[in-house]
Amino acid sequence: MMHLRTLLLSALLLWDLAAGASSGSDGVQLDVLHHVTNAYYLDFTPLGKLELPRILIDPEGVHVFPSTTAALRDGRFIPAEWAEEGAPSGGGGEEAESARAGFFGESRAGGPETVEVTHVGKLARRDGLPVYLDLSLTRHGVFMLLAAALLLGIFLPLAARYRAGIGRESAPRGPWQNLWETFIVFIRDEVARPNLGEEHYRRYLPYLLTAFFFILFCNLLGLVPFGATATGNITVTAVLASFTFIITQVAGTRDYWRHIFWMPGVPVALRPILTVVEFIGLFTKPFALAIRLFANMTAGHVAIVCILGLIFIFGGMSPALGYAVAPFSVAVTLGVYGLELLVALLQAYIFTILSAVFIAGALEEHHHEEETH
Amino acid sequence: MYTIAIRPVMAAGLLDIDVGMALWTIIVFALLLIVLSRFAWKPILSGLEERERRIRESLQRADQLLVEARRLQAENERRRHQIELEAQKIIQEAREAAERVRAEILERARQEARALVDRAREEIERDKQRALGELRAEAAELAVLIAEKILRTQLDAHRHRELIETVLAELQTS
Repeated sequence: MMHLRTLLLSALLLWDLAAGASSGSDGVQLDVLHHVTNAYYLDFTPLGKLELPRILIDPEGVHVFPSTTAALRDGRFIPAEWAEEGAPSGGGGEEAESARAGFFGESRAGGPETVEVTHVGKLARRDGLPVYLDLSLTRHGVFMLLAAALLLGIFLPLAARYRAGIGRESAPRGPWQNLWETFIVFIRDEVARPNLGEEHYRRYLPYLLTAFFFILFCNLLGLVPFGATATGNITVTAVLASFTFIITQVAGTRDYWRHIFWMPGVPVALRPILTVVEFIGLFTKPFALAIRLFANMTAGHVAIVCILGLIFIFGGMSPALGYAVAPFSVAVTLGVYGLELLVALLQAYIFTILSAVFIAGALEEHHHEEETH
Repeated sequence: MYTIAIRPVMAAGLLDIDVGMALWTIIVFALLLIVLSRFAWKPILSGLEERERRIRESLQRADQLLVEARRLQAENERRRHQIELEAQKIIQEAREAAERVRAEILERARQEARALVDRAREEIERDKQRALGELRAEAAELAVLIAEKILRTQLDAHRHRELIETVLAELQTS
């Protein structure tokens, strides 16, 4: 059963890659990045792609389109690359150009030849007015919402069980409750309590739990077929790290700020230098937090795509070589996939424990006045 | 070389900070934080704490009860031992008392037996004496009867008297 599923999974991935590779114009071309970057569509290759609605805010107001193609056909918007580099020549003026523009370059029966738009999908106004805000739902956004829905769908009913007394007055019942309780108790007893201490941990535990499960679910959704990793998006991880950063600063005691701006127990001449170092350190911590999560989640996916891509690169040289490489590639991919599962859990844990450590650092009360250390 | 490596990454927007996405993330995560904190983590964590408190208290109570049970057991053991000793003492005393009573009864029986024997002996003696007396009288009567008969048949009065006296003397000596 397990083998069947993984086999099916690899088959789907291969199909997706094959489709991507074959569409390259000059021989074999593999677009690794399009698998990990954000986009304005859901990728269900080989079943097709589903464009997501666009929400654009510009001086004219809020524009809502059901899809990127619809936004392009509206005429007021062009791909951002066209705004910078100029539209590809097609003839027939702006009207024809808008009519031809399709997000995935599909050709309509009887219509003029379509112009393919890259999958980045950023839009600019044709008339040069600025687009203030692009609130369009992206695939990372969709999977982030899905993760949020899963969190609510799992933990609100679970909380109802505790309210009803199961787990409160009796032992937790069933593997489902036991599973989640194991995680919750782990975060409480192994992450929050030892780092934040008995008197503070209760206050920050809800944030740590939310961050842990949100990241974990986002990570795991990236491993589901047709899924996307929201935590493989630098914006998402930066926002999450910012939450930890803000909570840390709000939690900061007088001692914490004194250690940053006027380090006690250090010669006065050195203090300005330390202030600079500490001030930079303030921001490197959440920066590292954001980069670590983003890079870890992206790297695994890139590795999988590259290893499977070997099949098509070698296949491009000679079909026999492609078939020879395939078993090796699939085997290694399965290994990396297993590793990815571990990394998904591990990175959620690391983000959570580092958040706890940073907050704990800001909470610390130092009891050494001017003594050397 | 470096730019070649980095350009596709930049072009694909892999390292772009997207304001729209940031807003979505902030809204989603903040809402999640608020809703889960209030409606999920709070009841779950308080439920867990409540359960842990219960378990802790139950264990403490079990410990206390165990100590109490041990104490009671020890006391029972001690009491039982004491009762056993007492019972033994009572049995011992009873045995002694019984022994005493037995000895007394035996002694009394012996005395009574002796008294009975003595009385019997006295009675026998008395009866013997009476019997002897009766015998003597009978014998005398018999002698007289015999003598009378003899005298009537053959002897005179003089010989008769001699004979009687001889017989009487003989009787007296015997």
